[in-house]
Amino acid sequence: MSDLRDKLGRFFAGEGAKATTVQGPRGAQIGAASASRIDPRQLERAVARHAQTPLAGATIAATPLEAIGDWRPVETRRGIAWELEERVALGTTAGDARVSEVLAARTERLRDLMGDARLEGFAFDRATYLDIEATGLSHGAGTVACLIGLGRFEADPGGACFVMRQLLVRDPAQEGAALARFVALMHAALDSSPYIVSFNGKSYDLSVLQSRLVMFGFGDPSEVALKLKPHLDLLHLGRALWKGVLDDCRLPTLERAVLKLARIDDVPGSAVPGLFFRFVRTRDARGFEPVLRHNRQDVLSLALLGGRLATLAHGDPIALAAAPEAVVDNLRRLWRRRKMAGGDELCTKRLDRSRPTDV
Amino acid sequence: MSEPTEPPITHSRIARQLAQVSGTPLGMPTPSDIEVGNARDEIVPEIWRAQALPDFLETWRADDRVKGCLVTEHVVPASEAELREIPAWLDPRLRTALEGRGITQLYSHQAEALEAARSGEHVMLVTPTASGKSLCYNLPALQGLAERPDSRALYVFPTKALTADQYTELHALASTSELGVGVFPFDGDTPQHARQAIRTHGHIVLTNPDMLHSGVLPNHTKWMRLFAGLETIVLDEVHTYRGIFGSHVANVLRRLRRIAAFYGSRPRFVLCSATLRNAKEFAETLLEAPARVIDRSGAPRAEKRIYFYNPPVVNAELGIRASYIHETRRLAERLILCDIPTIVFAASRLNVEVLLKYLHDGLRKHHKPERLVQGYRGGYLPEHRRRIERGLREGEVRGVVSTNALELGIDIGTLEASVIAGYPGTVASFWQQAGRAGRKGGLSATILVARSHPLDQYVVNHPERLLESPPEVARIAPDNLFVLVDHLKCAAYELAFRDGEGFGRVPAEEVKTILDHLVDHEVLHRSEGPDGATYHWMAEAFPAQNVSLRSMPGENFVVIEMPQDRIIAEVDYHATPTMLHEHAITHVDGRQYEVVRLDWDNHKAYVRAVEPDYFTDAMTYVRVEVLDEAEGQTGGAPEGNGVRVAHGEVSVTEKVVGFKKVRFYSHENVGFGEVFLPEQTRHTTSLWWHFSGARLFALPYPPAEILDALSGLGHLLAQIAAVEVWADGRDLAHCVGERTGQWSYRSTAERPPQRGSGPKVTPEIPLPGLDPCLFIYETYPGGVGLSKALFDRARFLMAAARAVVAACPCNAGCPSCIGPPAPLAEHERKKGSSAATRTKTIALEVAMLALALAEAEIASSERLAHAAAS
Repeated sequence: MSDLRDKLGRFFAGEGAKATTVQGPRGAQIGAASASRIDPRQLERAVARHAQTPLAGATIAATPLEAIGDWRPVETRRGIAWELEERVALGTTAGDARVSEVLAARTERLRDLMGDARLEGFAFDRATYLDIEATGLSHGAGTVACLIGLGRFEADPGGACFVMRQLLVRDPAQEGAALARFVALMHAALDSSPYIVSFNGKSYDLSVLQSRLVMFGFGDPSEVALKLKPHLDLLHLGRALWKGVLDDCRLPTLERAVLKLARIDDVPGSAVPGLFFRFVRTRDARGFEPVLRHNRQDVLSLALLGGRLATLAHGDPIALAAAPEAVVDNLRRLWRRRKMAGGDELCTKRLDRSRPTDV
Repeated sequence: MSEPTEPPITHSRIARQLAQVSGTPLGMPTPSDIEVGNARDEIVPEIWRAQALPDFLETWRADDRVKGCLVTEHVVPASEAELREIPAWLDPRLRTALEGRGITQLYSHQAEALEAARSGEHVMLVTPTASGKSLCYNLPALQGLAERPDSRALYVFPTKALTADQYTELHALASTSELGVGVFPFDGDTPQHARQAIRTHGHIVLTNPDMLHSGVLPNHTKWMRLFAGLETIVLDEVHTYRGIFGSHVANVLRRLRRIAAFYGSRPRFVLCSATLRNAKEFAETLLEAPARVIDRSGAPRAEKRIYFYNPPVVNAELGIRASYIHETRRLAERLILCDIPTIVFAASRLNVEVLLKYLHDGLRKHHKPERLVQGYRGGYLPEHRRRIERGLREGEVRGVVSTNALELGIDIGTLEASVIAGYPGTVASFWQQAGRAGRKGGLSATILVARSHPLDQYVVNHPERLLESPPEVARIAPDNLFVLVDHLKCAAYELAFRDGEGFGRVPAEEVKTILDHLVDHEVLHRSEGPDGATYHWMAEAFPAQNVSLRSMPGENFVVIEMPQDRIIAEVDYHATPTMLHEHAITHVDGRQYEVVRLDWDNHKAYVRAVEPDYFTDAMTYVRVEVLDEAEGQTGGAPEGNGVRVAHGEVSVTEKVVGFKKVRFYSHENVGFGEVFLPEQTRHTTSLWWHFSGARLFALPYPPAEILDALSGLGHLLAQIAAVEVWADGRDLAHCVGERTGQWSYRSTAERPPQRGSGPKVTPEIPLPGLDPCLFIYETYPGGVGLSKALFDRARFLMAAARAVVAACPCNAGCPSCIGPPAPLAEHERKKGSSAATRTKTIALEVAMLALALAEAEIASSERLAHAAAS
């Protein structure tokens, strides 16, 4: 058979429609792997069948992660985790909302509004805001949580502020460390921030995290018990209020409507996996930076949006006055669904308030 | 010339008749054999009344017409049960549950299986259908749960329908035993909201290999409880996991064992199979571990009568028999009208639909409701399938026409008779189909109606081959590279690979070679860690979605009825060009639809309901190119001498180029059409005879006729080869071409006619300097090792083919040997030349040439060796 190796040219065409001639970096070594009984030509055909077109090799110098932000290594029992901490002052604004507003949000009725007894005693300064970026929409074993974003209100010597922490998986082999750090952070905040706030986290973020924790042997999920924690999922609240009023109830859409915040040059969620793969392969952080920024904005929006939605849902007159009629209708329906007294007065209050200023 | 006993054979009648019998490979949809004259007689209504099966059989066998066609009556006698005591260690709640169903003792094989499972051995149960095999695995699984509430079991069945059947039985047993065990089926039909509950609370989960592959394993973190407690895995009907499907399943099992190990469990396997010659070897290949075979059944058996029916010859000179489809229809109609529940098995979807139509027409003429007979095939939507099953159970349906979908033990009520239209291709399939009748005890009958194909004729003329010979061999090739690479991708997605990790029996160095290759293609990422390298999935696609265990790579097509825009069926990728080309008449549930548009890129076929008086049959053009020769017969190249036999890798290109319109009942050709569809190429393995053109065409006949004969010989060889290596007839196909694949032979029957009428069919003139190759190739990419097995017996195959041709009573070739002579030959015959009888003679000479040259090669190389030694 060795004489036929001279006919390699023809045999490197892919099977079927896609005929990719691949000369990978290991191209020369394929022929040399003669100790194995695998026919290299057959192997090439078999692999090329479903493979993707490889990216052009990166020739630019890679920008290391440390150069684009204050990323620090943190020791964990699974190795080094990479963490970025950002402290956001209460006076910071995004859209027309101010971080300090969140602390003044009305939360007494949230338990009833969401129909969840575990939200008793909820307060925005006792919550962990959670948003992840992952390498796929499926919750399968191969989906990696490549970036975990956490936010919390913490007391500083100089006053309270909103602290954001990001845990990045720089290489798949380091995912265990990132998860260990995540578990440690959650554990440390068990008393001070026992509530979770997310956007669609109940279906997505927590499922993916749960899956990763199992993969990395963090014991029975009930130990970490993410899904047992009291959880305010803003998607449900947002939908309850804004359904039928906006085109959809995705986070950017709600940001625009509720916070008057329009993100500039934001990276779409669908691009994240590809950018992450590229980052892992090339180690060039500059390409991945938009994703890091996107995630930080997500976490901040969770707090800002949460505060506004809660206050509006609470029935706050000022918030009601600023809201469209249809939203107030939705709110009335929500109160009725939840058997909360006084829902009908919500409308009245708004009319009362708005009449003198009606033009 | 002797006095003809038949009406004078006119050219046009023969041309019509011959045009259909095109010698296509076994298993491909073909219109039935020719019906001469009697078609109209069948439609006269006769009065039939309800009869018990024994009386029916008496009357039927005594019928004059039937007597001459009944080749064999084989009686499988009733036998008594062999009983054992229920083991003392069985949980008392289970014992009570068994007693509640009237079971106070176990059959010998059940007791043996129970003991083997308890000792932790892997078990391979090889027993016939209806032998109580379910208890052999249900009892160990439930006993495990009784002793350890955290233990879990996973059951895998080849089809959803079989899963549903076994679920009912297991659920009943589990509930009556009051063990508090959650038993659930889990497949594509399971609603989303139920899935999480099943994952957490399912003690025994029933699924199929496809769901395991694309649903369970890739989401194993959600199944943590199941995998951590997994003690028992049951694989039922494992003999269906042969060929390429089996190779895929073997790899799914490798992934399953790998994941179980990740969660710390080492489950024992219980396998159930129909009889196989290599049962132990097959089980141990699937499991990659030793297994205990239990193959003596202690279950009682009711009497079973098996009949082989060969339709009568209606034209001795041409060797044409009455249509087996019509014979089947007549018999099935009689059975159904006599109120005997019957199942009819047909070899292809097309034949199912044609038979269904004929049976419905017949019922209407007897003023009976059409719903008495229903069709059943894989492409139907699940609700439809369930309805048919229910109808059978409740007696509203008396007859079912099916491909092999039902041949797996599904409890659909007592069927007393099974009529098998055409040998199904494997011994195991035959017994499975025969076993569908008489599951509840009492006399049952199976009638095999033979086609004119060589394989069928061989089987009915040598009934001991089917009835008494040792059962066949199941072959799988888990290390077929195409299959292995696909599953390594899935496995890497499920769990990162470590340096030095093997995969099942595949050694670590080979796994590493493949993984490194996947890294080059940017499917995986290799991370260097302190403990060595790990390989992680780094691509967007979800690998299991693109890997289909069953069909050749490619997604199913959906059939959409217009103008309602309603999906009525699904057809797999491979069958689509022949079944759904534009203007094809496709059949769903006894109704005909014409394909208006085939949207190839989006995998959709748009059809509209029609009521034509014809059906369509696709014509396929095949080209084969040699890529790499693995082994060749010792001796010189063909350039000097003669013929070289070899096997190796080839590239097969198939293209549907046109179709014939065939009228119902008379089966005459009423038109042709062209088809424009892309070629489908795949690489596989093949055996071939490479003839020297100089020697071959030196035979004293026109080259076109020589090629014709060679093609007929190939047709016969493929059938014999299938029998020889115990393969399914569909696993092999033949082609006459040449090594570079630039030319291939198409018989005149396979090519559309020239414009204008008359026998102006131009023969295929070979290029000068052509060295024809006769390929016998495997129909699945990569092959499963049949080519090598055939190469080792090449001389025997050719000799056997020669013997069949020589012994065949026909004059000029017939469907039972090399296929009918070409219309050209008929034209020559009219002119009075002896051309018509030549094809068979030529075939004989070609075979002799191949054999003699082979002998000469070996003799000459022996002489050379001898000369060198002395």
